[in-house]
Amino acid sequence: MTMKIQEINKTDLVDSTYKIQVATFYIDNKLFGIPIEDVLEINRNVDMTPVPLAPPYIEGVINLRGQIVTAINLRKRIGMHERGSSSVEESNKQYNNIIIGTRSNCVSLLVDEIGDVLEISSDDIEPPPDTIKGLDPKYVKNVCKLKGELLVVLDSAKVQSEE
Amino acid sequence: MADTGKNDNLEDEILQEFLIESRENIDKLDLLFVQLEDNPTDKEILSSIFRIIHTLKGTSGFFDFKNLEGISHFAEDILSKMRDGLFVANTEIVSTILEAIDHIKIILNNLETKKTEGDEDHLDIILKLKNISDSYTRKATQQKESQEEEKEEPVSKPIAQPVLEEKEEEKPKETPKVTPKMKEEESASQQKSYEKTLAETISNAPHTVTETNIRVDTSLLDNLMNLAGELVLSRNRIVQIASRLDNADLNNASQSMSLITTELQEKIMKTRMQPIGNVFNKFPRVVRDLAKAAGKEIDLSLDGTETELDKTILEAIKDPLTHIVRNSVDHGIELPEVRLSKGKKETGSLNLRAYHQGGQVIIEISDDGAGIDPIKIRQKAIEKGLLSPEKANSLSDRDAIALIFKPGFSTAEKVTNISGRGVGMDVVKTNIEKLGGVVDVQSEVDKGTVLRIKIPLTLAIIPALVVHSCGEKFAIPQVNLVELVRVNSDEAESQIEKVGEAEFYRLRGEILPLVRLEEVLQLKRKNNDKTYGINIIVLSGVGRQFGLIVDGIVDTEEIVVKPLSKHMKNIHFFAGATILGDGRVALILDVVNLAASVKLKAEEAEEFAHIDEMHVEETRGELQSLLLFNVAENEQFAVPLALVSRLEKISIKDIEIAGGKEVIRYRGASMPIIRLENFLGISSPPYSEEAYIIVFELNNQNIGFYVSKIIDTVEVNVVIDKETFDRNGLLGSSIIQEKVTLLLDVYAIIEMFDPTWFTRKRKSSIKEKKSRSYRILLVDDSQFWRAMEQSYLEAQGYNVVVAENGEEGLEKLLSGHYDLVIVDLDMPVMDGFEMTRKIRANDKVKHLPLLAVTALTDDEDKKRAYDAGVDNYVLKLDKGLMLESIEVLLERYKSQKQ
Repeated sequence: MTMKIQEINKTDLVDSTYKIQVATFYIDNKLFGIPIEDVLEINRNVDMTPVPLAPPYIEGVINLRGQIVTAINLRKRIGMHERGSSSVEESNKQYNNIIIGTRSNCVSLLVDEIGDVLEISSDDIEPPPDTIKGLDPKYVKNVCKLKGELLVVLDSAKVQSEE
Repeated sequence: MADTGKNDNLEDEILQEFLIESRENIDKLDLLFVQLEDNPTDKEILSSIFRIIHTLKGTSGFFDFKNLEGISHFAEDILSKMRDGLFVANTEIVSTILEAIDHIKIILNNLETKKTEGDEDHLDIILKLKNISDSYTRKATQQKESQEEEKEEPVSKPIAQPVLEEKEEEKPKETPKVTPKMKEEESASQQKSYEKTLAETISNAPHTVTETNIRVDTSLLDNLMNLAGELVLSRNRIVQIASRLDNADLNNASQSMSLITTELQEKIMKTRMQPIGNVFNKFPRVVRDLAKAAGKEIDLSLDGTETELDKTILEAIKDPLTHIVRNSVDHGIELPEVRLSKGKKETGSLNLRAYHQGGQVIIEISDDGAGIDPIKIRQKAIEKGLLSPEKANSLSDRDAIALIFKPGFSTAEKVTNISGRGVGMDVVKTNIEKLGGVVDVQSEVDKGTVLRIKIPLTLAIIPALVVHSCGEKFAIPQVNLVELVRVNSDEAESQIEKVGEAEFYRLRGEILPLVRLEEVLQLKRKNNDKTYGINIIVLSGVGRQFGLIVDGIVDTEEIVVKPLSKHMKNIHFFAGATILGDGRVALILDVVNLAASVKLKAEEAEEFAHIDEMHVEETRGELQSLLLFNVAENEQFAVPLALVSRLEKISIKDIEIAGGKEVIRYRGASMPIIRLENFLGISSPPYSEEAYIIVFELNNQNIGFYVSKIIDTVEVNVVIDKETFDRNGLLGSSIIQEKVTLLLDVYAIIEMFDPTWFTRKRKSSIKEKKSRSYRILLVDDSQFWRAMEQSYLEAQGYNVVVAENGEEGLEKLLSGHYDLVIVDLDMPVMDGFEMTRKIRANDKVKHLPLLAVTALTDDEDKKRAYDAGVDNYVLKLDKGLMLESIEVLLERYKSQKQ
C-alpha cells in the first residue's frame, strides 16, 4: 500500500497502518533513526584517517574490510552544534559507525551511542515540522512520537549525498 | 526465430562473435586500404584485403544478411581482379571501396543494436562497385587485346608474361587458362612457374586460422585485476606481521608468497595490455579522409605501435587522440600553396609516436604545420574574457600557448564540420587527467606543434613511498619520485632560502622550489613534536621538479590505489587512498596537483629555476662594486656601491617622526628613512634595537634605506636576470656569493617614496635641465651598467636609448636623432674606440658630443680614447662626474650650434 503518511486516517474502514523498522542511535542524547533497509552494518569504534581539506562534516575515511569508506560526522552533517566540547575532546572522541547505502557505494555515519532496532507503527509517524531546533530540516525524513521522547528519522539519501 | 531460449542464446552468441570479429576486420581494412593506396601493386596487402572481404561475404551468407552479402560480393570481385593483376588500385577504386566499407559499418551497427540489417538503401553503392568492376575490367581487356595483337606477328617470340584469365572469375584459386597463342612447351613451363609462385604466395601468407589466442570477457579480467589488488593488500599485511613476529619459517613463507604475488599481479596486468597500434591504426583512414576533404596533402607516420597499454586506458584515449589529430589536420597543417609559399614541402607531416618511459606511456603527436601563435592565443583569451589584458601580456609564450587548454577557448575562426569548433582541448586535458596523466604542448609558429601526453602505465597497483607529516601517513607514487634529501638540523633552516613567501633549496647548484606538506594540507601539528633536520622529497610533476618537506619517511610499499568518494572530489591534492600494511588508510598524494600549487604559491621561486638555464650575459671581466645587505634575515639585497654616500649605524630610538615620515638627524638636518618592505614585496626586518642606514645623496639631498644588517662590499662579475623579478624598484636579480640577491633600483625606490624627489629644484652646481629633453644614446655591452646608467640618466630627465654593442649603436645613431652619445670603451663586436672612430668619420653624426665611459682607468686607454675622438672620458663609477660631463658637453654643443 503506498498511501502518503499524511493521509493515514484512523477512521478509515480499511486498516491502512503498517510497521517500519528503524535502526536507532543517539547523538548528544537525542534519539535518531535510519530505516533499517538502508543500513548495511554497524561497527564499533574503527580507526579513522582524517582527510585534510575535506568538508567539515567529513570526519575522514575508514578501512572496511579492504574497502575505503567515507566517514561522515553525523552531528556536524545535520547541523547540530557542539555543546561545550573542546577540540581536544573531539579528537579523542570514540564514535560508533553505522554503515549505510549499498555495498558498492556506502558511507559510514558516526554516532555517539547505538540504540535498538525499533518497530514503528505508521500511526505514530508524523511529517517533520518545518523547523526542528538545532537541526537542518532537509535531512529529516519524518518524526515519530514515542513514549517519553521524539524519534527523528533521517533521510539517508540526503545524508549521503555530496551536497 | 521462435525457437527455444537455448537456441536463441546460441545464435545470439554466434552473432556477437561475428560482430566482434567483423569489426576487428573492418578496422584492419581501413588501415590496409590506405596502405594499398601508397603501394597499389603490393600482393600481400591485396591478398589480406581479399581474404577479409571474402570471409565477410561467406559469413554474411551464412547468416542470410543479404545487404552485407551483396556489398561484400561486389567488393570482393574488385579485390580479386586487383589481386590477380588485371588492373591496379587507384584513388577512385579505393575511395569507392572505402565507401562500401562505411556502408558495411552501418549494417554492423544496426545488427548490434537492432539485430537486423536496417532499412538503409545500399543499392547505389552496390551499383557503383559493379560499375567500377565492369569498367576497369573492360579497359584492361581492351588493353590486353591490343597488346596481344601487336605481339601476334612475331609468333616465334615467346610471350614473356604469364597471361591471366580475361574472363571474370568467381573462385580465385584455380589455375589460369593459357591462351593458345603461346607455344606449348613455353606455356607449360610458364604455367608451372606460375602455379609455383601462387603456391608460394599462399604458403607464405600469414596464417590467421588457429592461433594461440583465446577470447576472454573483459569483465572477467577486471575481476581478476581486483582480486590481484586484494591479494597485494593481504600480502602487505602478512609481510608486516611476519616482520614483527620475526619467525624464520614464517618469514620464508611470506617472502616466497610475496614474490609470487608480485609476479601474478604483473601478469594479470599484462592480460589487459594491448598494443597502442589498435588505436593508431584507425588514423591512416581518418587522416586520409580529412586531408582530402580539406584539400591538404598529409603524410602520416606511426611509431611505436607495439607499445602496450591497459585496455581501459586505450579506450579512454581514443577520443582525445582523434581530436588532437583532427586539430592537426584542420588547423595545423597548411594548404599546399601556403606551405610552398613558406618554403616548406607541399606535403605536411603528421607523426604519432608512443613509447614507455619510467612507468609511463608517452604519446607524442607532432606536425610540421603552422604552429600555435602565442600572440593570437593571447588576443583570443582577452576577447573571450578569460584573462585581463595585463595578465595575458605578462604570460610567457609557453604559458600563452597552454591557454588552449582553458575551458571556453577556441581559435577556430568558423565552425568547420571537420573538427567541430575546436573546443575540445580542455575536454582532452580533463579526460587525460582523469587517467592520472598529463598533457602539454610545444609549438613554434610556422615550424610545427608537438602535443605530448603522459599516462601512468598501471592504474591499480603502484609502488609508493610512504611518508608522514603531523602524525598522518601519506603515500607518494614512486613514479614521481626523483630523490630524497635530508638536511641536518644545524644547517637546515639556513639552507632554505626565502624570497617573499616562497621557499627554495639549492640542490647541487639547481634551484628547487619547496612546499611544506603540512602547509599545503593545513595539517595541525600535535604535541609540538618538533622534527630535527629537514626531509625533502624531490618530486617531479609536469617536468618541473620541486621539493616536498615532510616530517619523515616510513617505508616503500606496493599499494593498491582506491578511489576516494565523491564527497572529496574537489580536493585535488589526493589521487586516491590506500590501505597500508598496518591496516590503516593512507591518502595518496597527487604530485601533479601539488606541483601546480607550488607554482601558484611560489611563482617567483619556480621561475628562478630558469636563471641557470637562461641565456645570461657575459660581463667580460667587468667587475662591479656592490654593497650587500639584509632587511629580513634570509633575503639578500645589493645596491651599487658607487651610489652609496655613507653607512650609518643607528639605534631605533634615533628615529623620529616629522611630517608623517620617519626621519633621523643626519649632519644637522632631518633625513628621511625609507623602509624597503613598504615598497618592495619583501619581508620586514626582525625587531632589533639597532639598525643600519644606507645613505644616498641624490639631487643634492640625503635619504636613507633602513636595513637590518650590512653584509659586505664585494667586487663581482654581476650577471643580471631582469625577467624573474620584474618589479618596480628592482634592477633585477643575481646570484652573488651563492645567494639569490635582489639588485635594488635606488632611483625607482626613492621615486616611489617621494615622487617629487628628483624634480624638486635645489641649489646645485649642476645646472637645471632644459625644457627640451635631450636624447642620449647609451652604448654599453653590460646589462648591469646599461640599467644603472639609464636609470639615473632618466631620473635626470634625459631621454635614453640603449644599444648593446658598437654596431647596434651605430645603426641606431644613424637612423635616429640624438644629442649625445655615451660609449663604453670595451665592448664585443665593435669596441668603443672603433665606434668612436666610425662616428667621427660619418658626416651625419661626427659633430655629436661623445662621452667615453669605462670601468677601469688606464692612461693608455685615455689617450687612445682622445685620439679616437671622444670629447671626454670618465669612469662609470663616478656618477656625479659623469652627469656633470654630460651637462657640460650638451651645453657646449648647444652653444656651438648657435
